Parts: sequence; structure tokens; C-alpha cells
Amino acid sequence: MKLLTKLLCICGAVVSLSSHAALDIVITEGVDSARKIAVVPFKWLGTGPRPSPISDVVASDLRFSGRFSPTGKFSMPQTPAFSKDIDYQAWLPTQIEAMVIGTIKPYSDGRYIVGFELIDVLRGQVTGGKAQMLNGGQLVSSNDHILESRETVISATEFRQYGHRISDIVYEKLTGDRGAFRTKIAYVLVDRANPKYKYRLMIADFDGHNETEILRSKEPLMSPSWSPDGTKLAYASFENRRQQIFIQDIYTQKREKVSSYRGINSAPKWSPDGKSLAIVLSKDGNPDVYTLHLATQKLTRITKNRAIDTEPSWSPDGKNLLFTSERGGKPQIYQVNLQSKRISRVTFEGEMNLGGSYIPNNDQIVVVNRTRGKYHIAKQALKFGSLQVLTKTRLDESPSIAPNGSMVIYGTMHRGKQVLGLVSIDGRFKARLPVSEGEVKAPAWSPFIF
Amino acid sequence: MSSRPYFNIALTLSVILHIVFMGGLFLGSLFEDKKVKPMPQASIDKPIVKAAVVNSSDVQKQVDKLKKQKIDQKNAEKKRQDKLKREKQRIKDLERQRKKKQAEKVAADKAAKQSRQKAAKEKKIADKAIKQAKAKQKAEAAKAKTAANERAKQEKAAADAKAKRIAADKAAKLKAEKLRKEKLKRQQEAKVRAEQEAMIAEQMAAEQTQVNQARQRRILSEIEKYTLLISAAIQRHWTTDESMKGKQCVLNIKLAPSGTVFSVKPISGDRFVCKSAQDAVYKANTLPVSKDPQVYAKLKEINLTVQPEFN
Repeated sequence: MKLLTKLLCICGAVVSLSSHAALDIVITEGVDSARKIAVVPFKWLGTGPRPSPISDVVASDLRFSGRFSPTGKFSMPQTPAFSKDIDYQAWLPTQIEAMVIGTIKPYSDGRYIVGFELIDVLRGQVTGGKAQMLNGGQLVSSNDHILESRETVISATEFRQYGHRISDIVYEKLTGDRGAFRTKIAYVLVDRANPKYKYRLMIADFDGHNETEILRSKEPLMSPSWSPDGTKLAYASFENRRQQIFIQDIYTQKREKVSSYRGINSAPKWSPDGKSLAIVLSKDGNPDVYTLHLATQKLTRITKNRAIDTEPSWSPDGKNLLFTSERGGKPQIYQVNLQSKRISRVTFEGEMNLGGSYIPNNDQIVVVNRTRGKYHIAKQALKFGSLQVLTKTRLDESPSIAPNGSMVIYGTMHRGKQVLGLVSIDGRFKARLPVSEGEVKAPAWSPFIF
Repeated sequence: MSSRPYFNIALTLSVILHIVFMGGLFLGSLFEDKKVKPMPQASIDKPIVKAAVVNSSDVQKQVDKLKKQKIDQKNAEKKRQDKLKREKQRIKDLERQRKKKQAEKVAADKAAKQSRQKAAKEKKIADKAIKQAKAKQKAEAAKAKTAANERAKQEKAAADAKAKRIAADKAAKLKAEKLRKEKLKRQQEAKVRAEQEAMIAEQMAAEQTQVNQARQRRILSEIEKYTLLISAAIQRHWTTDESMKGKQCVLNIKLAPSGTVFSVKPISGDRFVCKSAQDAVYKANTLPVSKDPQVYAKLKEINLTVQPEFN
């Protein structure tokens, strides 16, 4: 009996011990900031002049995303080229989570072998880079702090592209989201200094590098839109003294006029399935939103209102459109269901909201918001969300969102000039894209190309 | 001394009785001679003369009558003989009695003489005895006196002893009483003390409880404090991102007494949220931990839930 009591007591104690063993802590807020990462300059193992610094591209890409804060070269305690050379304790004070290291070796025919490793520095600090695991009954070095290790042969012209490739890999490894660093942007470059062709349709890497001209025109070009496969652009052109909508293959340069109604033919947006364009036509009076089935040329009127309805944008599932309407007096964002044609107002904050578009995988939209006369890029939840202003630039317009929803590119004014701005979707990172002379308007982010 | 008068009386009586008996015996011998002379011939001669002439029945009757007479004669003779015999026997007995009385008288005289001698002797002895007795008495008196003295002494001693004993008893009783009282008192005191102790113990227990509660509160507040500190330390290093919206992770953290993180293991949740939280703990490296072992005991294992909230 006594024993039983004792036993019970012990059991009770054990139970109480186990039930009180762990302290529960709940944290709902962290530092809403970028993660510290180190992109160590890749070591040049060849002779002669070192090729372009590929690691700069990676660092820049990761910074653009807003989610990473690559540390400067001079803040690095060491610049190892191989994971075995890393002194983890030395990196301890830097609070750096991950590290990209690599080497560039000359290969034949002016090509190079680029190798890189992505290191989980914190894990390395825990294991000392010597983690072991059981494999087939034997302890082997697990190297679980090495998240990625690759070697690729590239040509001299592929350095930036391969840099973006590394960025994509790192981004996906560290965030779980697909990187969008090998995507492109299309935009209209207005070069008033050019006597003949003031308007040029351009495409470039998302970071503004590798600019390529698609089309030049004496008359205004407007609102380019990427086909979902990333091979074509739809845009509005006044080249024929009236506004028309064209589709152009960016590789073959083949063009096709798809809409040439009386009045306004503007703001084409490719549907997610690539079969239709949402366009704005004023052929029936006020500008209204229509969908144009490309294969059949069938036009469907979506909105019918005495006020201006414009700037349509497809929902990722292709079932709804956002559009800007003045039906409430001042421009606000509305959503229309293509099936039911039911329309609901989405934005209420600020004097006006324009140019709305859906953020992928996220029930949020990005708009141009005007509050107290200032135009800024802002985002808000599709339903019952408060507006969050992302930018601090002036006269922001026509935002376009990266296909992974991580960044927004937009047109803005800088020193009296229209330029492209880039802001991470969390608003942490803001940058102006380096473009050549002239003014840049109407950027459009491509879908995933690779 | 006192037996002497009875002795004289007995002597006189026995002499008188002897004389009476002797006279009686003499008289008796004078009457005895006449009665003893018999006359049997007259009765036998007469029946024989008449018998010759009468019939048989008369004869028979006569015969029977003669026979009867004969038997009667015989019987009377026998009776006389018996009487004589008895008379003889009686004389003999008397003679024997007289002799015996005579012998007895001689014996009695002798005895009287002897008894007289004996009495004198006895008187002598008695005198001597009296003397002795007197002496003895005297001695005894003296002895008694001394004995009395002794006794008195003894009695006194006894009395003393008794008094002493009584006193002792009394003292013992008193002592016992005292002891009893003391014991009672002690018991009372012990009871009181026990009560007081119980009260004190209760108070102490209450205080202890209070102290414990206070300590518990302190531990709790310490735990609260360290929970906040730990939260803050992790929070400071936890970089969140909107992509984590609606996701969460539960980590199990084990701490050394120094606060050094032993292990951080994701239990459940989104992989990347877990990784970010894990990294935050790693970055913190050491978490704030109380030096109080009891507080540490509650902090050494933490289930950390991170659920980033965004507006």
C-alpha cells in the first residue's frame, strides 16, 4: 500500500515534471528586417585579369529582394573560397546567417568554371562544420551546413546571367520561394534628345542591365504587357496616329495588330492562360474594360459605366479583373468577376487609387495611392485590408509585380526625370534602376522565363 | 497446695465405706445357713401307694401327673441348686470385694502416705518453686522493667520511626503530590508549550507558505521576467518576413545553466519559419537564464512558438 502510494507519488511527480518540463513562449513579432548574408567575392583561380565580379550580381539581387542584407566586403572577417576554409567562430559576431562563397577558374575557349557553395553559417557554428550522420550504419560527415554546392561552365557573356542563377538558387534555398532574378522587364524609354525615334520599347534584366531595344517609334508607345510564356509583348502604339494594340514576338520581332477600334485602344493585359487580352476601349463612349479572345478576335465587354473604367489587371486564376474606375467620383480600384460581371469596390483609403494589380500567391494588391496629393506605390489586402505605402518616391505610377511577388517595379520621378524604381514587396528595399539616358515609363515585369 | 483439703475428705470417705461393707458382710453370713437345708423324701412316697387299681386313662393321667411332679421337683431342685450356686458366687464375690476393699484400703493408706509424702515433697517443691517463681518474678520484673524500658525505648523508637515514617510518608506524599503537581504542571506546561509550538509551527508554516508563495511568485515573476528576456533575445534576432504570414513553427529549445543553447529542434510548422526561428536562437547563442536553479529548472527547456503576425 505504502509502496503503491509512493509509486503514485512518483508517477504524479513525473507527470507533473513532464507537464511542467518545458516553458512555453510564443513570439509573434520579430525584426521585420532583411536577413544578414555574406556573398564573399568569388576567388579568381586563373591568371591574367579577373573577369567581372559575379558575386556582386548575387549580392545585388539578394538585396533587391528586400529579404536579405548582404554584408559589405570590409565587414567580413575572412574571405574564404572553400567551405573547409571557413572559420565559423570568426563569423559568430557578424550575425550572418548564410554565406555564398565560390571560385572562378578559366576553362577552355575563353570559358570559365564557376563553382559556388551556399553555407548555413549558423549551422556551421553549431557543428563546427563537422556534423556527422549515420549512413548505412556508418558515421559519415553530413555537411548539413552546406546547403548547395555547384560547378558550372559559362561563357564570358553569361556572368551576370549566371549570377542571377546563383541568386535564384540561394533565394529559393533560404526562403522557400522561387527566385525571380532571371526575369526581365519591358518598359518604354522616351529619349527626347533623339531627333527621330523618341519612343523605344525596351526589355532588360529585372535589374535594368542588358537593355535590349524591341521597337522604336516616332509616336508614343504605351503599357507593354508580357505574354505568360514570356515570348511576346502586347502594347499600345500611336504609330498610326491613332491608338492601336499590337502583339510582338520579342525574339522574332514579328508584330500583329490586335485591336484598332475607334477611340481609345489601351492598357492591354495578357490573361494568365495567354489566350485573351484585357483591353480598354472607348468605342462605345466612355472607356470601358473588354476582353479580347486572341484566337477568335471575340470581344467581350466587361464593364459598362458612364465613368472611365481603365487599367485592367488579371487575377492569377484568370477569373477576376481589377480595374480603375471613376464611377465613385474619384478613381478607385474595383474588382469585376468575369463570369458574373459583378463589380465590387476594393480600395477606400486615400483620395484616389490607380493601377491596381494582384500580388501572386497572396490576397493582396498593389496600387498607386494618392494621399494628400502624393502618389505612392501601396499595397493592401484584397478584403478589409489597410493600405501600406511602400515607396517614398515622387509621382509613382504603373507598378508591375515580379512573378514571385517579391518585388515591384514602377515608374517614378527623380530629379525631374522619369525613372524606374524598384521596391521589395515588404517595402524594405528601394532602388532606382540604372538605365540609360532618357525617361523610362510603364515598366512591365515578365513572367518566369527560365 | 490447694489439693490438700480434697485429699483428707477422700481418705475419710474411704474408711467409712470399708466399715459399712465389713458389717454388711457379717450380717449376710448369719442368714445364709437356714436357707441351705433341703427336704426332698415327703413328695416321692405318697404317689407310689395309690397307683395299683384305676383304669388306663386314669393311670395315664396319674403318670402324667407324676411325671409332671417329677419334672417340677427336678426344676425346683435345679432352681435351688442355681440359687445356691448364685449365693456361693455372691459370697465369693463379696469376699473378693472385701479383700479388694482391704487391699484397696492398704493401697489407699499407702497412697495417702505416699500422697502425704508427695504433698510435702510437692509443698517443698512448690515452696521452692514459689521461691524460684518469686525470684523469677523479680527477675522477670526486672527483666520486664528492662524490657519495658527496652520496649518503651523501642516503642519510642518505633514511635519515632513511625513519626519518622509518617513524616517520611508525609514527605513522600508531599513529594509525590509535589511531583504529581509538578508533573501536572509540566504536562500543563508541555501542553501549553505544545500548543504554542503548534501555533508557532502553524505560524511558521503559514509564513513558510507565504515565503514559498512569495518565492513561487518570485520564481514566477522571475520566469516571467526571463520569459520576456528570452523572448526579446530571440525576437531581436528573428528576422521575419511577410512571406511567413499565417505560418508558424514550434521549436524545442534546451538551455545549459549558463544560458548556452544546447539544441534547437523544430517540432512542427513551416520549414522556413522554423529555420528563421532556429537561426534566431542560434544567433542569440546564449539566452538570458536566471542563476537561481529553481528558476533555471523552469527555463531549461522551452517550447517556442513563433507565429509572425502582420497587419
